[in-house]
Amino acid sequence: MSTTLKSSAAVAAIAASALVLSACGGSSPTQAPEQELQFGLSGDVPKLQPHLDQGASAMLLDSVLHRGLLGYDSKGEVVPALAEKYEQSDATTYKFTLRKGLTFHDGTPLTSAEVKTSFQALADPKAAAKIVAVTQGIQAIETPDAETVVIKLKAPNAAFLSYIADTTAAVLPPAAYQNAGESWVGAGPFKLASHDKGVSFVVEKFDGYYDAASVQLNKIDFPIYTDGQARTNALLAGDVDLIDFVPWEEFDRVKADQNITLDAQSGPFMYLNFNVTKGPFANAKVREAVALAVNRDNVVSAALSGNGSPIKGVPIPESSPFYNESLAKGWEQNIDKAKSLLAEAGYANGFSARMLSTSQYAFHRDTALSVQSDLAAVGIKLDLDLPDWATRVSKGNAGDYEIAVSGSAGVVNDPSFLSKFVQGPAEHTRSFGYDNANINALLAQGLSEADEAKRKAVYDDVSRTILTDVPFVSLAGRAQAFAYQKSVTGFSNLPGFLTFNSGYTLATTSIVSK
Amino acid sequence: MLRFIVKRCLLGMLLAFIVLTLIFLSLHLVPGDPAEIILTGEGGGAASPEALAKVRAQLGLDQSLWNQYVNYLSGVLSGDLGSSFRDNSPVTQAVAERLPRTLELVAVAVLLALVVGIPLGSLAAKRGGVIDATINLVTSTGISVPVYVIGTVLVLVFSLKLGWFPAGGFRAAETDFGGHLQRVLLPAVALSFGIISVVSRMTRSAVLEVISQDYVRTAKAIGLSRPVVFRKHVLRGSLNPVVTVVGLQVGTLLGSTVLVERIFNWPGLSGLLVEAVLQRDYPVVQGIVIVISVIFILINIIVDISYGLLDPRVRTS
Amino acid sequence: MKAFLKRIHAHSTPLRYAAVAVVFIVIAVAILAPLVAPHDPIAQNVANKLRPVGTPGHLLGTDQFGRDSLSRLIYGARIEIVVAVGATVFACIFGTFLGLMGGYFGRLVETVTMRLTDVILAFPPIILALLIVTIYGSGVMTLIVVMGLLFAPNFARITYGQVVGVKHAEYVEAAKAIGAPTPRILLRTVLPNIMSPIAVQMSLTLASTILLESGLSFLGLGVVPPTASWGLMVAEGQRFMASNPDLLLAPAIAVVATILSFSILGDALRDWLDPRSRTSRPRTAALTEVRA
Repeated sequence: MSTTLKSSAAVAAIAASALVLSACGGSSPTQAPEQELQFGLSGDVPKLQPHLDQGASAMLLDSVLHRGLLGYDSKGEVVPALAEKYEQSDATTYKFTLRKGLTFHDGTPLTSAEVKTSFQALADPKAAAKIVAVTQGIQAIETPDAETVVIKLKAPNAAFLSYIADTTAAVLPPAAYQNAGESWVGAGPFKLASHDKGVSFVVEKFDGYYDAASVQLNKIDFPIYTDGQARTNALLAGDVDLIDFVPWEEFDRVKADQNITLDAQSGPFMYLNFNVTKGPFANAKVREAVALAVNRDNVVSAALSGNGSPIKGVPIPESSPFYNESLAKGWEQNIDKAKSLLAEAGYANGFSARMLSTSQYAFHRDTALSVQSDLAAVGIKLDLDLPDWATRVSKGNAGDYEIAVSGSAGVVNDPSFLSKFVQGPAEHTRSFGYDNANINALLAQGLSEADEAKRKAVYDDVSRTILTDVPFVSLAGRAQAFAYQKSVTGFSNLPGFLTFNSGYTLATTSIVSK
Repeated sequence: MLRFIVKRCLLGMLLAFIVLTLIFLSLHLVPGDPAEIILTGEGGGAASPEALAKVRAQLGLDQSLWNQYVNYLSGVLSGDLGSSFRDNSPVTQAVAERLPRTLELVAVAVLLALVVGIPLGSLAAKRGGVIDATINLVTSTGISVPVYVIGTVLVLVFSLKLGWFPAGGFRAAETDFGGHLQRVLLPAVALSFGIISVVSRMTRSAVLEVISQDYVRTAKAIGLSRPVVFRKHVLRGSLNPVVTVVGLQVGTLLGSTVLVERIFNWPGLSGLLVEAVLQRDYPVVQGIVIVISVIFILINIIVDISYGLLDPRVRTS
Repeated sequence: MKAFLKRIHAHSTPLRYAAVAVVFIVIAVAILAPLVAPHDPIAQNVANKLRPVGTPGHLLGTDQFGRDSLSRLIYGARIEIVVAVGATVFACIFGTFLGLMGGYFGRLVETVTMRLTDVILAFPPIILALLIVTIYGSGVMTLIVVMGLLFAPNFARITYGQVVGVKHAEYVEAAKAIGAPTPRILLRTVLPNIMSPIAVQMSLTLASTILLESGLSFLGLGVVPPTASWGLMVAEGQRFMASNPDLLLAPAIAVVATILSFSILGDALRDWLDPRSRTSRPRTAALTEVRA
């Protein structure tokens, strides 16, 4: 019997020591805050390649470690960054004046030559930068002196400055380009102190940053929490001060906590793609029928736990000056019309098709389930193909699907972002085989037009064509949220697609005592 | 005896070779392209065909399967498991970082299971009847609940409700020992639920077996008190097999901590393995599978050899 | 037969009767699903989503699509039984075959068959499942094959051990002496004499497959939605656990009760089938050997 006693004593001892541990490990918020931020990051970033990075975590680190000529302020307006000022001398010429004495984290100077190298890399089609479609429009980069950069475009591009304000247009040290544009060293407000793979990143304030005086955080620790629930729990338990990518099913739990701010913006959106090279979906009428048959409120409610907004037409956000209400609601649900379109197309009795989505992300899978149920009501029977994400990307690129669920975002909020969804080589975020000369011509015209009213007319035409030719079916905008303790001030989630640039505001974030 | 050992080792090497070949071939059967994932990440981005071709060439994926296999095999034979597709870091280094963490998790879990399971098992054996049945039911229930449900409940109760522990994560033991211990306990408890049942059942049957042995009866007959008999003879006699077998289970648990690692954000080997498959990081997947299977094979050889030492019949068969 | 019934009675406890009852109920519900389910298990009604347990018309509430949880649980029993029985039968046939061959013929056959089981065991189970599912796509058949493969080595080892034990027994030698063909000896003479440990193992494997199915579902490797399975329901429930714990409760209880019943049944079978059971050691490791 005594053995049993001894063992239970051991159990008690362990429990007791655990209590002691937790007691001494707890944080004590009594002293003045140390300006060290704990940021629960949603993913590890094995290598940082600002020109290519598209993942949320990579872009966040880019915005902390790197800087380009321009940046965004907390409202999403383009503001000067490494460039002290910029001016547009004519429709195709931009002149940037760099700040004085700029250096990278390693102390090497940053002059117009480094800027030129970076833009050349951005424009190199082989390097396949994220904004290469825009940077290929650069005709010449001139550097009259060490602090001046003049960029000449082949044709006017009304959204050029917005594109190069994205983290992707960071100026990197020349050495990075010997290494496929990979660099942890940049000119941003923080420099990398350590990276423990799969565990955390630690960055420290960079004293050589051009605006170091206004940077208040001395250190940011980015522990990595891949699982959304684990990340939320870490925030609620007070282990971290701030998290990115709050899972939708956790919004209510986060909102319920008095000490936490949930900062959500409508970010990327969910939509349907088609393989238009074969089968029923090659017919625009069938695609339009799909667009009219889906119940977008259900997608928001079921797949995004109600945290999003239905998009019933072309996905230009209401806040945009290019928003046109009737066109933005052009695909209001209309079952009867959907059925008659199907009948016109010769599918009065419906048909079966294979829908590609992924089981790796619950919101992709649940969007597919919601749409499956809606389309069954008009006679389209969908079998779901739910592989992991890598397989889904491959199948999407190869056109190995009939209809697919996608989620993506534009780079900028300017409506020129639409080009990403309707033109270009075969790619998993675009309908396979889709090409419409009319839309392509209109989009080119939209970029070269400088006058806003004229631009609006052009994008209205683009929208009208999209509504009837249906290159994709918009479903719902996802509420992309950060959440942080009330003690964190100065951080803000940038509006729309710019949400992935929100790390810019960490340069002005501070911790105040509660 | 030496011949037996040599034979088992050769067989073990053959086995490792088969596993390596199988994993290599099946990875190349899996749909999905490492280059696509490297270029587009988890975002919904686009990558040009030129960029894809370039990355494939960098990774050596443009070579024939046979060439890739021969290259990989010659690397492994010289102790080089290749480098990760994603960050070019050596796979051996990644394994060396992650393996101890998972080992630690498993070791603490097993330790907890022994501390709880042995008393439960001996109690069940000694008392029998209702207590035996109750202990059996409770430990069996522990093993029947999916481990991620247990894990989530533990987080909700002990981190969020009571605030005793952080809600997962990891701190290096060298820099923050207290923080490290705090974070290892909950996942280890979650993992131990399944093992407790095994330990307690094995203890129970081992105790029952020992109790019926002659020397125990003799000890009782000569008038030693029951607790003394139990402690000095029964428990000592039955613990050896329990500890040995459970220790061996550590090997099989190595690749099985995926869910616990995910719930508690513990950066271990299993999590890396799953992530590497999802990211199509072939060298990392191959490296981890080989390391885990070699450990498994080694443990088996040791078991076989020790059985061989104990029981001459095994050697001749 | 009479002796067998007597043994059942002698080794039975209320718990064991309860376990038998649970298994019967699960099987009956699975067979009668369309008759007993109050709603269509995949019919969505998003306006009525995430209702708690006890909602009128939805006894166990509804999930994030407004689907009736009770109906999903009932239809889920079907998938659960099909997957568990399918995987167990596959594991049993494949594993027993390997063990029988290896044990009876020895030498090269033994090396090949037993090392084959080692190869399966040497793979981390999760990687085997991940690879097979990503190559062949998820679904009921894939699940059966994956879990069948993972559990086959248990059967192979048990059978092997038993066969080695009986292959020189008098009745086997006698069958050989009268010139019976080898397949006949294996199937008619050897197999019946080693059936009881295999039956026990089957019961434990049924329990293990249900547990593993829930783990695989958590990783998105289970059945294809909208088909309901318990594992998928538990995995989904875990996502909503902090906000809507009701969603998890019913499927978790179903999973735990069924697993428990199968493993209690396994212990019971050992006693019922094997008169010496009180002294033999329980082989209970099976439940833990394959975990995600």
